Amino acid sequence: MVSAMHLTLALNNREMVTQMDHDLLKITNLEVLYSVDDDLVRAVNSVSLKLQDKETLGLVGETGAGKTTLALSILGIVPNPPGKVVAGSVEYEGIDLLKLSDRQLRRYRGKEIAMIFQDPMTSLNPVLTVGDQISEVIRLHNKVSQSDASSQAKNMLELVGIQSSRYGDYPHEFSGGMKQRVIIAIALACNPKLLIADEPTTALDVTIQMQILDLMNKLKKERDSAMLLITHDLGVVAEVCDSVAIMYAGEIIEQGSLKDVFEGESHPYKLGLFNSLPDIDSDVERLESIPGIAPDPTKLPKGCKFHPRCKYCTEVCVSINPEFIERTFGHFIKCWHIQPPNRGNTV
Amino acid sequence: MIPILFGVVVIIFTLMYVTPGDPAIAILGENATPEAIQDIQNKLGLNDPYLVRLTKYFLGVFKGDFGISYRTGRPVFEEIMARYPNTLILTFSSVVLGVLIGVTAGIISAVRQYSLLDKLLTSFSLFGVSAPSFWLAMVLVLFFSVKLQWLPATGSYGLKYWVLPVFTLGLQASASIMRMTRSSMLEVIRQDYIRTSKAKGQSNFMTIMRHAFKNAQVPILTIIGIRITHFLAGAVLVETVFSIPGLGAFIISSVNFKDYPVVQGGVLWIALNCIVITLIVDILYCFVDPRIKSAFSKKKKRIIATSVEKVGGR
Amino acid sequence: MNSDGKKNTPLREVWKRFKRNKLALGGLIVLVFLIVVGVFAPYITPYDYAAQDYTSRLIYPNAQHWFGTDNFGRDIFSRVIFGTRYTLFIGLVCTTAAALVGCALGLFAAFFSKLDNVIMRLMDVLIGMPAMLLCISIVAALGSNMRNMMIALSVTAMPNFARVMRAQVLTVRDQEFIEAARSIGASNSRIMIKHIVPNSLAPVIVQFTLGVVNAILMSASLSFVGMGVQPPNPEWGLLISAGRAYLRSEWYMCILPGLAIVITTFALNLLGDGLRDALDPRLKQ
Repeated sequence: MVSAMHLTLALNNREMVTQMDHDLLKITNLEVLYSVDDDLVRAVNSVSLKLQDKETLGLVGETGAGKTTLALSILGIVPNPPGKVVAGSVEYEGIDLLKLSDRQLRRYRGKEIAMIFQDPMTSLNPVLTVGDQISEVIRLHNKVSQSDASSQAKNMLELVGIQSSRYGDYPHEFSGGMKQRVIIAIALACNPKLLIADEPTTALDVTIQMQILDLMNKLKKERDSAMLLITHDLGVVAEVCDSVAIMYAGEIIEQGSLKDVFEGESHPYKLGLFNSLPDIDSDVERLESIPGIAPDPTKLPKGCKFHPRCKYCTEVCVSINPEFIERTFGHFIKCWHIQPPNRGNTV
Repeated sequence: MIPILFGVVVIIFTLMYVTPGDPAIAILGENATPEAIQDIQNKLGLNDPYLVRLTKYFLGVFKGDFGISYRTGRPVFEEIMARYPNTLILTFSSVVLGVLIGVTAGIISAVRQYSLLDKLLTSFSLFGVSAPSFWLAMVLVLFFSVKLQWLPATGSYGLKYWVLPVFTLGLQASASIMRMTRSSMLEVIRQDYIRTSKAKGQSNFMTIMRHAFKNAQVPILTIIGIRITHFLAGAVLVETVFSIPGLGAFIISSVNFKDYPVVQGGVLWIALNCIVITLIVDILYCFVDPRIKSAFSKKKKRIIATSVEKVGGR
Repeated sequence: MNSDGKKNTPLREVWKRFKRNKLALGGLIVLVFLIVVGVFAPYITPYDYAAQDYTSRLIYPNAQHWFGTDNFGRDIFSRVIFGTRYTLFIGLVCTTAAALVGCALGLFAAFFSKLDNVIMRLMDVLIGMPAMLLCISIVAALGSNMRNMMIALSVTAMPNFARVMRAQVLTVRDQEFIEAARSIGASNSRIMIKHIVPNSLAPVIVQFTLGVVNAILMSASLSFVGMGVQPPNPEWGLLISAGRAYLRSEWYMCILPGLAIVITTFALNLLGDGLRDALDPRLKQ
């Protein structure tokens, strides 16, 4: 976990990338449902999101907030059954991916949009060599011979810091960090414009986490790809992202540039997140935490989803779910009682 | 392997040893003279103590000498070999048929889970493992032989005669292989690397074949191995119903004739076959799952390394 | 506490999951029905199953004889009903004996590593021989009757229970709550009985249903070839073998008793599958 001071430093040392180009990815009112044992889980609840070319958007939220489901729906690989996209659109370069057939979508997967999953230990096929798994994605999207694909795959291995001589080794012969490198190699092999990374470092040791993040950052810059980085770690967001979206109970409750979200006005949930970070300068007996627990996805509260845990909750919050309010340009907050900027994180 | 073989021999031998009844009388008949009985008993070593007889039998087995049949007087080994090929043909053809149908049906069933096809196939396979093989055989005979008059019911004089028996056993095999394939595939399909394959843009078909099925092979291979061993033994029933002169039916009739050396030898021979099959399946594992292969090769490297050391190499 | 205010014990959870599986529930109902039929057989049968009536030989199924009559004029329906007793008795008794002995052996093998090798080698030998052959050998040695067949069936079923129990105990033994129990001073036998056994039961129960299915099929097969229950007892396998000579014309003599076997084993298989899904929901899709 990271401290408030760390965040401030990271913030100051970053160059912000804020381009107002056309939208690379535009998600509008996406709704995804899961049916589990007679219950209906609203995993993604009317989510709208925008991502520009070369932009890195951090998607922050607790486990179970719906982040992975959101990512899977972009690629059209939400497990069905039990999941189903019931409403909304996902426009990539203007084309609604949800309306495409599986065959058409396959041309995007791995080539235009690539995904890195959370657990490297289980994301690689144990009975195929790592080299074959990389060359597989190359051959899927390019008309090259097996030997060409192999040499390209070997290049990718070197690029992610693995000796190309290990092309013929099997996944079980690699450590967790190296497996994740292989997965990154697979994802970047066809130069995708959009990289979706679902908590890429969560399952790794802390020492390895920084290495992997640096590698991803470097490669992303070299290839000018945009990235949707899903994480629950604010420190990672501060290091790598240009903009942030915060997800709670299947909804985006705040979105904006990194500076706006970290230093501007606040949704109470985000305020709670920042306030719970330990501060090395202040002397406290207990850490602040957000009271209550995340809501049961099968029994979401009416009105604002956060209201049971919010200390600023009033009558209107209980009955009506707020709309996005754009207080400053590009900074959207979904709340009836938007809070002033964080005390601890002002520059 | 060897201890199991040894144990099997001991058990079978001991079982036959404790069987009541004098083999000498069995060979010579009820009206034999006491001298003749004594004579035979000495020749066959029937009065030797248990351990001596066991050892003699064991050594004999290694040389291929399984004793002499009480009924025909010919070497047991000869009698076995005269009928063994039939059982072998029956078993292997059925397993091949079973694998072809069972694996295909299992994969389809798993991929199209919850569909009508899946439910039909699952019911069929459940029926196949619930029905006794000899009854199934009779149903098929009734239908194809009696009602439709397409195929002959008994005998083994040509290809036509093998159709029903192989089909019976094959259907049964495909039922249990299908169940195992289906559950193995379902287990594999839920794994993360399947998701990775889809995210790469791989087609559904190739994802199933290249990623899912390749991983599901180990448990499927296991059950195929088990089915073969069951068949070798259970072919008894089908052989009986279809009057095929195979080893299984021969063992049964020898029991009824109290021809114990044949029973002993026949059972031992089949048990030997089963052990060999298990060994082959173990070797096949190495080719199918690289994790097992590397565990083996690591052991080999260690053994080679230490032996090189011992010999004084560098 | 759940919404009814009753405690959500693991048993209740399992039953809830099991109930949802309609097929498995059907299997259970069929099984109960068969047990009732078996127990009350003398009161249900329309005719005495052993009574021979030479005036009504080889009659096709009709209103008076639902399953027809055999070549001795005996009513097949009554014989099949009485056969239920044999089937259930053999299936349950043999499997229970195998389970008790096998699980005890498996438990000891897992707990006392000195015994482990010996016991498991012995089990390997027994499993190395195909069950049918082992049964034939045992029955050949001891004589062809029902008692010996049941001994043979129990012996062949035992090693599977030993293996299953041992594997499960080894897994459970390494879990932390056992360490916790030991750290507060519980003795070996107390740990064995109170903690390990209850947590190891799930796969044993599944194996039990499989074992009963196996026992029923094998006893029918052995009786069919004359190495089990002897005629004129109305065991289902015997009924089928008796009808074999008449397959061409009086097919009902073989086919109907066989159907009884299929229904029984089918129901048991459904029950077993349902139990497996209910006891370990992780395995279900």
